[in-house]
Amino acid sequence: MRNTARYMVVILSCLSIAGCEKWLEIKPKNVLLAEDAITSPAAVQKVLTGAYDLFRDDNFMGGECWVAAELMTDNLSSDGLSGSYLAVYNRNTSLFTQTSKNLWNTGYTIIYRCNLVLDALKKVPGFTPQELARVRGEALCLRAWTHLELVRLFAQPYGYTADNSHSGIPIRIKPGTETLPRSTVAAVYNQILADLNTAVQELPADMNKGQVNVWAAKGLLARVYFHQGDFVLAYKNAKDVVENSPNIFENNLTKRFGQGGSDDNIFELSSTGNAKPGQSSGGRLISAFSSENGRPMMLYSSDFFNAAKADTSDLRYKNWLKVTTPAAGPPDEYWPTKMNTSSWFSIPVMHLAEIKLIYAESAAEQSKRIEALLQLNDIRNRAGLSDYNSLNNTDIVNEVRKQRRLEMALEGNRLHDLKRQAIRDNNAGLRIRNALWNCPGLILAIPADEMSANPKMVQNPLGGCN
Amino acid sequence: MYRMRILWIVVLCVATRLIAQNGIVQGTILNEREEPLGNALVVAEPGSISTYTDASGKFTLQNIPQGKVTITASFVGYESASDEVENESGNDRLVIFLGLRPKTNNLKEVIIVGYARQIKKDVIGNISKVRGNELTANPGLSFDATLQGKAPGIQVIQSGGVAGAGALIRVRGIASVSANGEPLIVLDGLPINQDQFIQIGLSGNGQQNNPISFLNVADIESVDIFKDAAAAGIYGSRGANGVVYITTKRHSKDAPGKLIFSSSIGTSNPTVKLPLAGSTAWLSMYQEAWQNDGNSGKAKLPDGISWNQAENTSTDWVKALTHTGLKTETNASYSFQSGKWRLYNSLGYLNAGSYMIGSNFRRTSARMNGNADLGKRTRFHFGLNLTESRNNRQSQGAQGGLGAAYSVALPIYSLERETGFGEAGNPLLRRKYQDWHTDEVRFLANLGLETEIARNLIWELRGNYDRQDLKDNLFIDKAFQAKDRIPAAQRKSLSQLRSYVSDNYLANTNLIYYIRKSSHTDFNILLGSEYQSQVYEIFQENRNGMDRALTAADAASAPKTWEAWSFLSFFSRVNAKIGDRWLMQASYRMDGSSRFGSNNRFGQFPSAALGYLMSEEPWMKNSKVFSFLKLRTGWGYIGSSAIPNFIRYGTYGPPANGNIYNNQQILQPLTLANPNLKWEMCRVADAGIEMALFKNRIYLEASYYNRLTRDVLLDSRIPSSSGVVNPNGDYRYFQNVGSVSNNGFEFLLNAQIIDKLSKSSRAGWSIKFNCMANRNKVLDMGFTDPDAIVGGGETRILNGQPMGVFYLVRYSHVDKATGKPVFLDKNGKQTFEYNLANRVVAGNVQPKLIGFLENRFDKGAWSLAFSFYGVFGGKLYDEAAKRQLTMLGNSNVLTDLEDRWQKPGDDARYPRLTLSPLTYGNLDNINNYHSTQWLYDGSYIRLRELSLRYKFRNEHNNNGRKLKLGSITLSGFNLWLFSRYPGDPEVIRDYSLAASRNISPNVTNLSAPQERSFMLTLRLEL
Repeated sequence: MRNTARYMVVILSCLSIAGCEKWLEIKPKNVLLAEDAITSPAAVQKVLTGAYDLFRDDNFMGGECWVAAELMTDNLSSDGLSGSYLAVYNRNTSLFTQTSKNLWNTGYTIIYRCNLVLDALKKVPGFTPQELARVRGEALCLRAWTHLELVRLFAQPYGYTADNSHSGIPIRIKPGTETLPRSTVAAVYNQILADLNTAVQELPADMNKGQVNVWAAKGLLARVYFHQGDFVLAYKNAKDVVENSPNIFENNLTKRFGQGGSDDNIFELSSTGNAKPGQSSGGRLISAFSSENGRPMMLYSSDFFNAAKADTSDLRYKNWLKVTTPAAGPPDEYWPTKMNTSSWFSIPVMHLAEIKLIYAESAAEQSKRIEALLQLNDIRNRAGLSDYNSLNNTDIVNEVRKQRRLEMALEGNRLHDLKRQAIRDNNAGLRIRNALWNCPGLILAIPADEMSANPKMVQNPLGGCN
Repeated sequence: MYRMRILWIVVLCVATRLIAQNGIVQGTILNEREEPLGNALVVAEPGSISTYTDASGKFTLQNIPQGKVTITASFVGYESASDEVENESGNDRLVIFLGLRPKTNNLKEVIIVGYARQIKKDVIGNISKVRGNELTANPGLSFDATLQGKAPGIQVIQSGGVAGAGALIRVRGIASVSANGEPLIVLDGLPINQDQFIQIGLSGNGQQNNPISFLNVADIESVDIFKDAAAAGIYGSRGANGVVYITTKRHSKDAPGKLIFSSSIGTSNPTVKLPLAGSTAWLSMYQEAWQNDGNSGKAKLPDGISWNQAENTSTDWVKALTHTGLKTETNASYSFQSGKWRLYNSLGYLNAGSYMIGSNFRRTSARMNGNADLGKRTRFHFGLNLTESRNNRQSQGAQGGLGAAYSVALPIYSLERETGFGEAGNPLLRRKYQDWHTDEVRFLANLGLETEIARNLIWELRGNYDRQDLKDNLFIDKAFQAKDRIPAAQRKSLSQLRSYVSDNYLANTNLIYYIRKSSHTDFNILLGSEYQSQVYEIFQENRNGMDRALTAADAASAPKTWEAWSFLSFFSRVNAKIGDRWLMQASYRMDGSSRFGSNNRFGQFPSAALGYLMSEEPWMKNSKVFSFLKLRTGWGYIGSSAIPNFIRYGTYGPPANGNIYNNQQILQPLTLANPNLKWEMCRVADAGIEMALFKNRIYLEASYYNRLTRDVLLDSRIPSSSGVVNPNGDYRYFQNVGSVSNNGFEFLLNAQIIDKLSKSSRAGWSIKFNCMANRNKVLDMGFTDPDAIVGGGETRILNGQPMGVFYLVRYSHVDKATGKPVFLDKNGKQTFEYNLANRVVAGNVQPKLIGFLENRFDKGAWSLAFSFYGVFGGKLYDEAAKRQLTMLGNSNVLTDLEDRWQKPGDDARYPRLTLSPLTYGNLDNINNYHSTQWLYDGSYIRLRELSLRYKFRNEHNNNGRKLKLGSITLSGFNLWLFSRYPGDPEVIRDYSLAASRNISPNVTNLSAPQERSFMLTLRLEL
C-alpha cells in the first residue's frame, strides 16, 4: 500500500512535466506579434508614421542626403573632414563608406515600411474612403521620393545615356527579402512618376507641413520632370503649386530654418520641440553645418564664398555666412550660419523658393519670359537684390541657376543641378571641383550590406575623379 | 584532469638513549590529502605491538624493544606503509609520520556524468576532471580563466587584465556561428545563466558583464568537463559546445569538523608595456610627415596646438592612467556534522584592483551546502549561494585607461587638456568625471531529495533557482563632455541606469534502477525529465542634466523589455558493466525549446559508447607495467539552440529610441517570422585510451575525436535593399545552413618522476602535461560572398577554410625609391594600389596546438611548482597598429617607427611618413587599410604560474580545534612571455554578437593586456 502511494507520486510527477508542452509557448511581451499588429487603420497610420520617422532620420533626409550631395560639390571645403565624409568629399567612396551605407540602408527601410502600409491597405478594414486615399497617397509619395533620392546618389543622372538604359537601383514595390537586380534609370524614373501621379490623385490639399499633401507631391513631380528636362510638365506642376497651394511666399528669408518654419515650406520634416525623443529633426545637419556653438564640422569653400560675395548686399551673403579668422591666423574660414537656430528646427525639404525657381527656369526654357522674370524677381527681391527686367531667356536660365546655388546652398541641390546642366547644355566637359560631372566617384558606392548579400547586385565603378 | 597525488611520507626519527624494552613510538597517520586518518592500525615488529589511531590520527606505542623496529600502518582501502626506526637505547622516545595512499588511486575517483556519478574507472565518456585545488589560485581571476591549461581539449582565453573580466572557453574547437559557442555551464545540476552578451555602459563603448564572476573559486570542489557525445549526450540539447559541470564543496560523511581560513594579498601590473615615442620624437615624425607631403615650414599640429606648447609638453599618459593594482582575498569555511546534518558554510571577500587606475572588482560571497539522511532510504541535500559584488569600471580602448594612453592621448597634450582627443575625450578627465559601476546580486539555491522507493529503485526530485540582479550605473559629470566642440555652458551631464534581472528555474525528476548481478556485472537505467525556464527583464533610463547618478526610483517608469525561454526534456541512459571488463552505455535525450516553432520544436539526441578494461583480463592482471588500461569509443549527437529567444516570431513594436514623429506614435516592423528554424546538430565520434603504468606513477590519456556540425544556426544576410532591418540594425535572418567539422587529438600525461614516498630523499618531482591539436574546417556555409559574415578585425568565414580566417590584402614591403607601401594583388604581383578585390586568406585565428606543462618539486615542507601555457600556430591582427605605426591616426606612436623610410634607397620596415592616407594607396582613411602589415604570429608561451609553498603542521596537539595544517605560498602569474607580437597575444575582445565572439578571437584593438601579478597566500586549517 505504501509502495503504491509512492509509485503514484512518482508517476504523477513525471506526467505533470510530460503534459506541459504548452510551457514551451512563450510569446514576447511589449511587442505585437505580426498577425495581431496591423489590424486597424490606426495601426497602419502608425507604420506610416514610422516611414516618416526614418525619412527625416539623420541618415536620410534629415542629414546625409544633403550632406553627401553637398560634399561632392564645390560648395564645401575639405578642412576638418575625416573618415567617411572625407571619402565622399574626395569622391572616392567604397564598400565600407558609412555615409553610403546610411543612405542606402535607411532609404530602403523607408521604402519597406511604405510597402507594408500599401500592402496592409488591401487587407485592413475600417478605413473611410478619404483616409484610405490619404494614407495610400502619402505612402506612394514617400516611396517615390526615397527612390528618387537613392537613384540620384547611387546612379548616374537621368540623361547620362540617351535612353537611360544605364544602371539605376533596385525598385522595391512590395515587401520581402528577395534579392533584386538594379533596374535601369529609365525604369526607376517611370516607377517614381507612376507613384507620384497616383499620389496626386489621392492626397488632400490641406496644409499639413509635417506630412506630404498634394502640393508636396506636385512639387516633387515638378522637381522630377525638371531633372528629366521635361520643362513642359515641370512648368505645369510648378505653376500649379505656386498659384494654388495654401503656402505664401514668406518675406523673411531666414525663417526657412527657424523654429516654427517659414510660410514657404510646403513639406518639412517636423520638429515640435526637443523634450521627447524624436520630436526634433536634423541633428546631423546641425552638427555638420551649424556654427551656433563654434566651428562647424563643414565649412564653405572659397569658391562658394566668392559666388555669394558677388553682390555684397545679398541677404543670403549677409545672413547665411560668416567669415572667421582662426586663432592660428589666416587663411580665413567661411562658416555657414544658415542653420544656426539653437537646437532644433523643422527641415524644409520642399519649399516655395525652389518651386518658383523651377517655374522660372522652365518658363524661360519655353520662352515664357515675363512669367519667368516674375518668379525670378520674387527670389531676388527677397534676398535684397533689385529686379532684373531686361534679361533674355538664356540669361534668365543662367541667372536662375546662380540663384539656385545661393538660395539652396547646403540643401543638397548643387550636385544634381550641375549634372542636370551638363546634360541639358550638352556640356560634356563640365567639371565639378575639377572632376568631370560624370566621373564614377560622383556617385556613391553600393554598401557592403547589399553587395555581400545580393549576388545580383553590380557595384558602381569607384573613384576616378581625382 | 587527472593526476597522481603527491604522496608523501615523512619520517622524523631521533634516537636518544638506550634502555631495553621501554621505548615509545608516537606518531601521526595521514591520508594522501594530509588529513588525519583515524582508526588506522599501527603495528610494531618485532613484538607485534599494535594500536589504533585516534580521531586526529595520533597513536602511541609503548614497550618497544631495543634495536631496529618496523612500524607499519594500514587502513581499509589504502596501501599500507611502513618505516624502520631504531630504538638505540632501548627506551628512546621516537616520533614518526606515515602517509597512506589509497589502493586504487585516482581510478576510484568519483566523476560526475550528468544526473549521476560514476567512478573514473567505469566512465566511458570523455570527461576531464579538475579538482578545485588545481584551479589557478589567483584572486580576481574569474572561474573560467582558472581553467586555462588544466585539461586537454579545452582552450581558455582570458579577456585581459581588467578587474572582473571573464574568459572565453572553447571545448574541442568551434562550430557555432550565430549561436553562442560557449560550453554549457552547469552548477550543482543547474545550467546557470551565462549570458555573455549583456552589454552595459555606453553604447559603442560598452563592456560585457562577466556572467560567472559571482562564483567563488574557493567553494569549488571539482569541475568535470564533458567533451564527447557519450559524456555530453545526456545534456544533448545544449551540449554541442561541451558541458562544464561545477560541483561545490560539501562536508563528507563522518569526517571531522574542519575550519579553513585563507587570505591572499597581491599585485597587478600589465604583462607588456608598449614602447611609446615621446613628445620630441612624435613631433619630429609629425614634422617629417608634413614635409614628406610636400609642405614647407612648421607643420600645422593637431587640434590647433602651437609648437611652443607642444615642445614644452611631454606627458606620460601610461603613468597617469596605470599603477600597481592591489588585490586581496579572504575566505573562511567551516564544515561539520551535527546529528544527521552535514553542513559546509563559507564566506569570502574579494577586492581585486586592476593595474588600470579606477578599475576594481569587489565581491562578498556566502555559501551553505547541506546534506541529511532522512531515515534509511531517503537523502536530502541543498545548496544556497548569495553573492553581492561591485565592479568599478573604466572605459577601455581609445576611451580610457591604457588603451587611451596608447592611442588618442598624445604626448604633446597636457594632462588637463580638454580637446583634441576626439570622441573619447581626455582619459584622465573621463576618469575624474565619470563614475561607472555595475552592482550584482546573485542568489542560487538548489534542493534535492532522493529516496529508494523500492528495492534497487531510486527516485530523485530536484529543484534549482538562479537569480541575477544586475544594475549598471553610469554618471558623467557635465564638466566632462567627450565632444570637443561643445562650449562649457552647453554641456550636460549624463546619468544612465541599466537593469537586468533574471530568474532561472529548473525542476528535474529521475528514476534510477540498478541491478547488481554479481560482483562483476552490474546494470543501471536512468529515466528523467526536466523543465527549465528563464525569465528576464531589462530596462534602461538615460537622463541628461542631472547632478547625480540615477537610482532605481528614477527609472521606475522606464519601458521594460521582457524575455523568456524554456526547455522541456526527457532523457534516459542505460549503463552496463559485464564481467568486470566490458562497459556499455546508451543514452537518448529529447528536448523541446521555446525558441523553435512547433514544426521543429523537439530535437532527438542519441548516443552510444563502449569501453573495454583490458587490465581486468586475467592475463593482464598481474602485469608489472600496466596498472590500468582502458579502451573506449563513443558516438552520438549533441545540439545547440543558443540563439535569441523570440526570433521565431514576426513582431512589431514602437521604436527602441522612443521616437515620435509630428506628435504621432510610431509602430515599426521589428523582426520577420521564422517558423522553420530547428536545432543545430553535432555528430561526435570519439575514441580514446587511458592507462596507468608502474603502480600508477604514470598516467596517460589519449583521444581522437571527430565532430561534424550540421544545420549550423546562421544569422545569414539578406540584402539591405529589402529594408528588413532587425532591431540590432542588421540585415539578417536566422537560417539552418552549412556544416563545419572539427577533428583533433588530445593527450594527457601525469607522471611522478621521483616519488616522494621514497623515504631516503623526502623529495619528489612530478609533471603534468597536456596538449590538444584541433583542425577546423567550414565544409559549406550556404553562401559564397566572403563578406557575408564579418567578424572583428577582418575575420571571415569561407568555405573550405577554418572558421575565422583573416581575409586581407597582402602587404609586401616598402618601396625603396618612393617609400610607399607595396601590396600584392590576387596573383602575387606587386602594386601600389590598395584594392579590396586583392584580399586573400591570410591566416587562421585558431591555434594549431595548445599545450600546458607543469613541473612540481617537493622537498619536505617545501614545494615549488611552475607551469607553462603555450599556444601555437594562430595569427593575430592588431587594428591599433595602423595608427600606432603611422602618423595618420592622431595617435601615440611606437618607437618601432624609427625604422622607417626617410630617403630614396632606404631599406626600411615602415613606409614613409605622411599625413595623407592617400599616400599609402587610394583610401582616405587609415582605418580601412586592412593588410597583412598588421598581422602577427599569435603563438606564444607564457610562464603562467610560479609558486613556492611552505607547509607546516602542528604535530603535538590532540585537540581538534587547534591548527592542523597551514601553508604560506608565494606565487607569480604571467611572469614571462615569449611571443613575436610586441603586445600580449592572449586577446578576446568584448563583442556584442555571438558570431564575432566565435570567429574573432586574436583580434586586438587597444585591448587591455593580461595581468602580471605576485601573490602571497596564507592558508590555515583548523
